[in-house]
Amino acid sequence: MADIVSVTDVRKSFGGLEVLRGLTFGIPDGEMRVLLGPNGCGKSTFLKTLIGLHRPNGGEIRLAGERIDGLHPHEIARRGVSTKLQVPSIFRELTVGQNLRIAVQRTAGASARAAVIEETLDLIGLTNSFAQKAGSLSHGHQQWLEIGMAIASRPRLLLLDEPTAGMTPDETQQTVRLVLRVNRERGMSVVIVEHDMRFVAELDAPILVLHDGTIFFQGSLKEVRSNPSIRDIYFGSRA
Amino acid sequence: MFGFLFQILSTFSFLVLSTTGLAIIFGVMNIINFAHASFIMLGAVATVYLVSLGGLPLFVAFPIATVLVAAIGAVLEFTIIRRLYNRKLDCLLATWAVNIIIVQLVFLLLGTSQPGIDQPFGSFSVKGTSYNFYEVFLAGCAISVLAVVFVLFHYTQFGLQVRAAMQNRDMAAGLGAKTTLIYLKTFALGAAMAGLTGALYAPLMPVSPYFGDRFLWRAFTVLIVGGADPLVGPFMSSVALGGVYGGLTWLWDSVAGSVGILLVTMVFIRLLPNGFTGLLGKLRQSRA
Amino acid sequence: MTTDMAPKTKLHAILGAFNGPQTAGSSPTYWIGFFAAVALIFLYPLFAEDYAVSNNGFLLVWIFLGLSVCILWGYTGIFSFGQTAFFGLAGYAYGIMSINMAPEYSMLAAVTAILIMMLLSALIGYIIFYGGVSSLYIAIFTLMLTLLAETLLNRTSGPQFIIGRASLGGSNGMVGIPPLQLGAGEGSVTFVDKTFFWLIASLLLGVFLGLRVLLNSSWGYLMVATREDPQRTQLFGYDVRLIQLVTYVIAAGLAGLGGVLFASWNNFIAPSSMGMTAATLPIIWVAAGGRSNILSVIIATFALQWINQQLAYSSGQYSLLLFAVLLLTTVMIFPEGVVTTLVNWIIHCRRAASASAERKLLLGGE
Repeated sequence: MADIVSVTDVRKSFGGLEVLRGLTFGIPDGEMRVLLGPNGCGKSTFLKTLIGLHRPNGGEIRLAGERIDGLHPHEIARRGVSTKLQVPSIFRELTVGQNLRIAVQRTAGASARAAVIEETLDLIGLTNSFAQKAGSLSHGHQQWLEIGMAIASRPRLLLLDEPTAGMTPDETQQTVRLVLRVNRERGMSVVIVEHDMRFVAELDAPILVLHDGTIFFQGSLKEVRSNPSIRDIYFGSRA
Repeated sequence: MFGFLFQILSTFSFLVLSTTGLAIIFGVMNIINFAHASFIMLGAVATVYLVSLGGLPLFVAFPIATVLVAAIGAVLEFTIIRRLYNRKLDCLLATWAVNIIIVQLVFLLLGTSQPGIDQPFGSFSVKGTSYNFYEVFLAGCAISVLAVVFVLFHYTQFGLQVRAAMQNRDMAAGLGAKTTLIYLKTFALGAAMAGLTGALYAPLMPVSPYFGDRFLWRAFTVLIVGGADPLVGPFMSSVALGGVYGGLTWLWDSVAGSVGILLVTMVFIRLLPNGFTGLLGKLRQSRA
Repeated sequence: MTTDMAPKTKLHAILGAFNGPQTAGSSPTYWIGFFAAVALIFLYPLFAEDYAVSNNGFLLVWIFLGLSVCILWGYTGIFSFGQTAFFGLAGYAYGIMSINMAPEYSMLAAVTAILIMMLLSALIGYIIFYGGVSSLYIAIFTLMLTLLAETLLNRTSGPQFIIGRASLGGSNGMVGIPPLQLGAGEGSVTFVDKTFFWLIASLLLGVFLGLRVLLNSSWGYLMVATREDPQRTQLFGYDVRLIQLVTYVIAAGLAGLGGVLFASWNNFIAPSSMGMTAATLPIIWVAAGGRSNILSVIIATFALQWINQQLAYSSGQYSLLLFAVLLLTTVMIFPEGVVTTLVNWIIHCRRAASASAERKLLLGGE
């Protein structure tokens, strides 16, 4: 099976600061991966580079074999990449309905739109909030709305940057179920950047540990937990 | 040749003096002060009245007018600008409204044109064409203004606070520098420079409530081409645009000069959206 | 209940195109009221004197300019001072062509003038939107263009600035611009006074309905998305630069239409229609009206221009001052526009009144 994402020696610097120093890995189509790493290791930078908000200074990024590094963000999104950013960025002043319509209308024609919107509302549990201003939703609901908007366009690749930040344990559980469902039922490849180890444990997906701008380790959660070097990275004996 | 260089120098001075006040406010506070035009006008109006009615010597009127406009600027910052720090576009509209209000008030209270004053110093001639010493004096003023801003920004406590605020507003506030006070001082400084510009050009142009308009749009082009840095921006931009405008005006006429400025600005917008500031930044980065 | 999907009848389907979250008012009551008002407006010239009809027809011209600024600023988040330039230049273009052509070609001249403005805006739009400049720069750049246009046209008083039989006229402007005319010879209609009023009212109705369809279509959703968060919109796969560019071109067309109508009614156009004052007024209409509401912008534009006109008769020199104070007040106190704030306040009072009435019913009687 071809890789949905293949990253080869990607580098990114800001001024004199090198954040990504030769990142290389691949994600097979239809699978889920978790990206772990301490603050400042480059997780968010990588995600932003993948979706086109940053241009890499070196290396290649391929989506299902096609090179996407250097493309505009909207061109990358059109190729089936959807993102949920770290800071909830839905259209706060617009209603839930308007938000979803914007997410959906590119990929669903006029007759299919209504069904997709209803289905998404159902999936994220916001059926009764159609006319509500998105900014007035609770934090957890805003996160779900953003996830809903990301999956509504039926992407090949779903990127989630700390989707459970600020959520209650209950909401986190529901998010786990949602993400698993989306990956298994719809075959969407998912990459999740996370901190919440409970969430990561529930997902039970292979983990990529980022450190110092490169992939330090790849393996299961059990392997990560029992690896002393990783503990050092997180708790400080290795800079 | 001399005429050509003189024209460029004259345009350069005009652009530097028109823009530095605006650039300081934009660079530090990231707002466009539309009232800039009326500040320039107030500087000119104050000068002509101080000289013709007050009988004061011109060089005494200059600093008085400058301080007066600085005070007005401070009041404006305190009452209106302060409430609109995070609403950049609304701030632009508010200052625009204030600009019109000030111009209209001057028009209603003082009439459509104000007394004229003569330029000092007289003239000299080169190859049969006569030039004003005053324009040379203005060039000196332009360079002095840039020098003063440089010293202020790099060698004073105020300058340090201002540069910190420019880098990171929230951090600067956390470090104890009172950003509100810094902004007040910055705005007053920008207003002072506008007032000074108006005062300096009062002997050269007829003074009316609409005096500031001709400075405003040219200041905008300098701002766009220069970028956000209050020193590099006006300086580099005035050199470039001064050269283009001065050169084309000398070769053809001022219409060609204006069109030339427009084309340069459009090229900059398309290729270098951060102006000379951005260009300098890129050069610094590639060297690192 | 939650989503208004699956139109029940053909009528619903048709109405559905005109209704949506981007515009206010969608109930049958609203539309009945709307068409009643439209009918009254069309009947008005039959009951009024030529002079008043002509005057009010002229006031309608400004609405196109107001709408032009509104769809850019209120709906797409693009603050452009340049619409006044398209307004004025369209007037000049129409003037040059219609003076030099036979009267029956005046409609062609009008359409061509508008198309030229749209082409010009496409070029300018390409430069500013594909260059990625910040919105503040767009504001001052477009103002700069407008003032430059005024400055250049002010210097066109010499004999070398005569195109065919049309003299640009420098700061005095171009005179002798013929009114719009349909047809030739015996059966022709020249649009002055009453006929002008009906023409402009029809155009305005068409534009309003067209905008309602546009704003509630997929494109309209993209406009507001671009306004709210351009970067996020990109991440959904939309080319924000293209959205801004196309909207800019449509807005230029609207402004151009206004300019042509202005020149036709006035038989005259001058650089002052592109000066600082002229550039300020549309901003005030839209700010006072409530930026993202086309109907309130229409009302605000008409009302403010009417006030402007009345003031010109008595104390004209104060009108600009008053408008500037209005703008300042609006920005500081009514950021959503005076009309919108008033309407919201009325709705709020009504709701509070009916809520307390309900409460009384629940708690009082039994």
